[in-house]
Amino acid sequence: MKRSRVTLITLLIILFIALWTVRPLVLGGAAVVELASAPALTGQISQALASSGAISNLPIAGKDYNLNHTTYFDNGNWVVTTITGLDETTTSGMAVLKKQGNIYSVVLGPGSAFPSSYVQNLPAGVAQYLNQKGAVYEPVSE
Amino acid sequence: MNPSVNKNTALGRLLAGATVLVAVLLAYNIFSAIHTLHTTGLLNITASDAKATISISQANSEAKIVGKGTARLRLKPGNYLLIAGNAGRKASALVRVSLQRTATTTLKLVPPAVIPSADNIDFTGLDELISNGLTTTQITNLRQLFFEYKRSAKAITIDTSSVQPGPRDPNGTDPTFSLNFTGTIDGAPYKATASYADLTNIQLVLLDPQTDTQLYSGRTASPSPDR
Repeated sequence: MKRSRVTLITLLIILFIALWTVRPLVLGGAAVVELASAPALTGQISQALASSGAISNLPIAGKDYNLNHTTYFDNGNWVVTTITGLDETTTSGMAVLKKQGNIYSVVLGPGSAFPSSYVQNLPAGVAQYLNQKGAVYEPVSE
Repeated sequence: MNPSVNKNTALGRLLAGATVLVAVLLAYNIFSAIHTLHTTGLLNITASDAKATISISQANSEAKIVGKGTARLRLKPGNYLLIAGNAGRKASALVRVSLQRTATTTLKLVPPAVIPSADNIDFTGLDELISNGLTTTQITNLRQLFFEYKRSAKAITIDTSSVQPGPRDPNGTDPTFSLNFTGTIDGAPYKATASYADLTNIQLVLLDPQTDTQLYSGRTASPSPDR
């Protein structure tokens, strides 16, 4: 009786250890990452807002910022959106994103104004839109 | 019945039950891990900065921080945007994760590109132009015009002793004033005339001081009235 109980306890311990180690072993030590659905562009905007510093949390759309006036150009290959920070630490301004593959990535901004030397390299529709919004600066020379 | 025997029997049953439960959980864990193995791909990420925060996002999805310096991830097949950043430097990459395959990417962090602007140019001697009648708005526009001429300029000097008002007919109807001066742009000499007819706009003409060849002409307003 005692021996069978000892065996059972030993088996239980081994199973417990296996319970915590088998999954990482099978998966090669990799973390399984699943990304929840979110409104279009918000994931990429969150990354752009936080990418240049050492951070522990990404800004969250709807909590730290909102996206407004999202406008698409060139058959959806380019998009300009306005970011409104909901707290003091989140940048407000406009961002220009370009579609690569099926993901948009920020190519300009976020910022409140951009030099014409940068904007002139963008598609005409995008540049014109930024000009209309007053987001381009520098005088025009002869 | 002996109470101690009852106790032993109960304990034995408890242990057996616990063992079965843990075994079932283990089996579930194993099947779940194998299922994940067959429905995901592996992505190895290395950043050039061991302290860089690595984040990942996908179209129409949230972004998530997945590690510092390195990350080893199991992801559903698809395209992902990776960004690594630390201390003002960043790197980004688009990666494709394929089913049951391993992808490896290295993110080399670089400083942000300096946006060219007149603010990056070191100007000296502008105060003399203010002393000779230009407004601060005109000085700002003048800086921009110099920048338009040479966007890569690092240092522009104005020889304060050379600043002279240009010729003007006191009986004429042309309201334009001008200032002539010389200086250097990154060590290269120039001759300049700044012309203005109001308090805001300005025209800048740059000449080669040796040949009087026009190097640049720019303005921030519509042409001044014809004489």
